Amino acid sequence: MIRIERRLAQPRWLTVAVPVGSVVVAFALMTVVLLATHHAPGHTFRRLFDAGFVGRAALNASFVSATPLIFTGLCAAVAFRMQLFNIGGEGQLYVGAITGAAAGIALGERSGWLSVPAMVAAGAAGGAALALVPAVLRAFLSTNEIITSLMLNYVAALVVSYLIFDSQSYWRDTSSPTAKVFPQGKPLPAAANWPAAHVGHLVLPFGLLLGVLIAAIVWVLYTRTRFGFEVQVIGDSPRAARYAGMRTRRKILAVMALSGAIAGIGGASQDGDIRHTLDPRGLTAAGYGYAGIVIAALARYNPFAVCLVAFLLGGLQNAGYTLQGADFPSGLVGVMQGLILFSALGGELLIRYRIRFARGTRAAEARA
Amino acid sequence: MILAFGGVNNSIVVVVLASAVVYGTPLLYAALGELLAERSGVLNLGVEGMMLVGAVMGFWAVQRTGSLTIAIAVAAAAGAAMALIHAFLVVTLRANQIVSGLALTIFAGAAGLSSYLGN
Repeated sequence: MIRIERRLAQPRWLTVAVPVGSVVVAFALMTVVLLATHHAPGHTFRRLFDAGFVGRAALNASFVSATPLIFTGLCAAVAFRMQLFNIGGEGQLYVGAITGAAAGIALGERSGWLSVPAMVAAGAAGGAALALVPAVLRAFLSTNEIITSLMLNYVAALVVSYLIFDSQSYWRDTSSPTAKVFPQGKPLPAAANWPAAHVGHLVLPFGLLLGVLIAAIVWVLYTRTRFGFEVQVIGDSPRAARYAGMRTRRKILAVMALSGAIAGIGGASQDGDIRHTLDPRGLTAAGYGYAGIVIAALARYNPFAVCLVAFLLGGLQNAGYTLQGADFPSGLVGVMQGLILFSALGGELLIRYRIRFARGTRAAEARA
Repeated sequence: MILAFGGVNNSIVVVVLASAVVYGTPLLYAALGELLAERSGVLNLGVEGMMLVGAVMGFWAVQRTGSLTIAIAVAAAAGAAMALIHAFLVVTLRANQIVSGLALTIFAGAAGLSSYLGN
């Protein structure tokens, strides 16, 4: 008979072994899927790996894909640690992209180095402002933040497309006749292009470095400060935290604002690093926010692991874009990501619980 | 679209009401499905993925057999199969409901299984 019982202590080696094992299981499942649909598994995996992680161009493109995922992953990880389920990373990223682009356009060409920090700050403020809506509702009216933050994603998506496609807004390019017929965002001034770090042949977007820096800050905040301790206590047991005199409401507001700010910087990074304009179609099609939640879960809410997982999933996504075509099955990358997530979720069980094989107890009892 | 109205009926109200029915129908199915799951205490964020896989499999079935009844049955079975993954992870293995639901949307959604099978 198989029994599942809760582990009292979680051995350290398991937290590494289980994710690795999950990925192996995911590849095994993927092999089955590929064989069932008459594709050669070895060849397909090889091409995916090459297109995602081998060579200069592939790595640089993977860094670009990973950048927004680091931000949205951290956004989710920060909030989920306190059992505060902020699903709104998607919308907070859009709003960050709107405010970030506004700052970049407003400062114009001659602001020098000031544009970049101004865009980061504006993006953070925009994201935090949107995140505070569900936060206030949760803190003072006890509404379910999952639903409110999820619904705000749709609001933010509609707002960002309205600004470009349905209005003569500040963000829309109206300088030429073609731009009036085919709506598009104003190109950001050159000063608003975020610098990239060149390491050898590799190009690291500024947003990527900033994301890793924020991950380090979050790690320090959550493991070395009183704020982080209180967040963990509230996450584990809100009632115990209240009895201990912790200000739960304030923590909800602070953590949601932090979470939204990180996603907002991700949006500003999309403007400054990658798109150089407010691009509603590209942003809403990508689904960075939802991918971020899954990344945070895979990383078990550890900020450094978020960076690593974001890079791996970003590479996979980038490989999917590169290989898209007649000879490569489309949708394969999504299936692959899904299988990795499922097996990681299943593997969680092995970390939290132990499985005991008590041999033949029930059969023996029956015989006796 | 089915908005081909003649003469008297061609008022804005009729058009709005008719398109409300057209656009509301898929929402109705999604909401009914979600309602069942929520009643049992499971949050199901994978509705999107389940619906898309149902759409692909239904299309496949009607192409193969030409029978609408079979197509509806196949689509329902495909959606149920997706739901089974979510149920196994969330109920049996007690995984996080939000994450599992979103994972299902990624797995089965527009960039995943439904487009993989669609080709």
